[in-house]
Amino acid sequence: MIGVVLFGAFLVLLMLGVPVAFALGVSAVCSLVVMGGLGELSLVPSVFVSSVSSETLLAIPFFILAGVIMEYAGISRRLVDFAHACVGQRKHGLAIVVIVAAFFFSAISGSGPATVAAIGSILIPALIRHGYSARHASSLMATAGSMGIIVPPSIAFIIFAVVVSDFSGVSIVRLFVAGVVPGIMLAVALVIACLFLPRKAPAMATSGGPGAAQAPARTGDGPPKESFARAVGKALPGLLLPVIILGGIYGGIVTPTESAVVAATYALLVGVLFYREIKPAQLYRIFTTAAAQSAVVMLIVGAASVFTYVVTVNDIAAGVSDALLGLTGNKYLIILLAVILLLVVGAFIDAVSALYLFIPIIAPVLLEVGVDVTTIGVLMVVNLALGLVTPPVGVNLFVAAGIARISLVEVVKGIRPFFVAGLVVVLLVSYVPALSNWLPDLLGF
Amino acid sequence: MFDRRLATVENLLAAIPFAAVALVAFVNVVSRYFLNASLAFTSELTVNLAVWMLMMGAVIGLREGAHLGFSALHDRARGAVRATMTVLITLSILVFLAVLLVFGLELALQQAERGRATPSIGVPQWLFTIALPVGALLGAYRTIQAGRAGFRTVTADAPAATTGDNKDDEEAGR
Repeated sequence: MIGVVLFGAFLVLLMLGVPVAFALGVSAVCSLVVMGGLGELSLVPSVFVSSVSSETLLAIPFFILAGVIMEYAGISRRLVDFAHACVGQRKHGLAIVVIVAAFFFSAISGSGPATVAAIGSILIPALIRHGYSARHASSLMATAGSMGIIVPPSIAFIIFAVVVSDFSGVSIVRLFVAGVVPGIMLAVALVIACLFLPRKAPAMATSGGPGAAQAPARTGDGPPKESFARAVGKALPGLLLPVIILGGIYGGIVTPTESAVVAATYALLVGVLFYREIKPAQLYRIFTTAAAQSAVVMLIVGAASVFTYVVTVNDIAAGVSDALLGLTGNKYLIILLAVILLLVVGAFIDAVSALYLFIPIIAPVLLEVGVDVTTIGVLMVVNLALGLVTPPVGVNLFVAAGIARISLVEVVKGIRPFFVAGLVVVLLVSYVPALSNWLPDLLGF
Repeated sequence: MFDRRLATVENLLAAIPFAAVALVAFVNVVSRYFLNASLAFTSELTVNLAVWMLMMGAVIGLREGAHLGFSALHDRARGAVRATMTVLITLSILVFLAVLLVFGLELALQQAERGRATPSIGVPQWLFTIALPVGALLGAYRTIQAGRAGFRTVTADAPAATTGDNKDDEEAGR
């Protein structure tokens, strides 16, 4: 009964267009009132505050801060130049640059939209100048950006570890390592999809002229005469960032939260002292932007915790899980059901909300049929990463459409080859546990 | 003018706690790994200050329409349907903010009365909890503002269709 009120209200509010965080909060509020009257609401602030004031989750704002600083510091641009020096000279080289640069950026940032925003503003215009259609340029960038939550560090894996701890324990570090192989697989799958892209002759597209001469937009074309060594040298401070973050975490020197703080500080130092692109006056903008971006995620965490509280108190998740298991006990069918469910859910809500809502339902079922918790984490995160580029609510699509100045509908028209590539990776990681477990087991996490 | 100043206050109330949290956390890492002195008490400061950052950041999000949602139906609706949806969205957001305002204030007052403080540094707990009602109040103001602007766009849609469409696109773009 309460379950119907809770999920029913959520669905109605969501369809109406209420932002997800508020749809979660209001449906939880409605259910609490039904359960025990207005007095019941006095527990909302304490559940809300205790969920967001967690040291583990503090990693999220810090990683977002590091990403914003990198953009202001000019690190993103130099990473793009570096990727260009590596692979830019081949056929479809620039398309591959997008994937390589997105991979590097994902190894620093933990968010999909942040990855698209940081390098898309440089690379989408460059792709278009090189003869790719605007729809393919932006949809490629959007899909490559979804590696942001698969390749460690990843906001989604942090949330997964926190929420799944009620059912089964798995460390954030193990999940981070587990994301490496699927991340590489997605990169490879996207490169393969790129080889089939249609492309106009670049000569007629790069007519140049004063119109195309905005300084930052040109960077993606790559400095043709610049030597490989120079590009590496300039990008080196940025390339050290993933080494610091991941090395620090895997070496057991720092916790993920601490590594995020160190990364942000390091990026700030590089921006101020080395590249000299950050002026002290910009700090106000940097912290405001990062605070707003973090709050969007953390508000969802807070509201989703109130929602999950209602789910837990009423034992709703167990009911749904039992019903699912009653349907079939076949492991492969259950996995398929989970994949389809997550693809549908991912099309409508963001990854963080989806994890809070569906870990309590999906994780126990998958554990019951013998899927290990690492694979469950990777399965859910990779699925939801694909959700970042599934209309109607694909966050990455919005960001990419904004940069390319085309409509969302137009971006969606170009997404098919990349979506298919992503789907292949989703199915592979869902059905082959070794892809998730091999590397963490090898390294002993 | 008032709005611009208020926006600056909101920004500062989000940015300063964030900068403080980052600074404290960084000093903590340095002291633990390089000076071998653990500043464990800092963690209660950082996690509590994060509540201010979250609430004020959420207000900025409401001001700039940055909170994620499924807007496809709302974007396609026209005329009275759209106006009704805009009102309902605004009301829903206000309901959640009202809960945070009323019961957050209640919690903060309770904590102040009992003199509850954070365990190691002894900062009064209500100083952090009060972020909930303050943020909810400012958020409500920004929500009503955005809702009114959205409502006016729709109701102005009929006489001047072209300008209305432009504003729709702007809204969808955010």
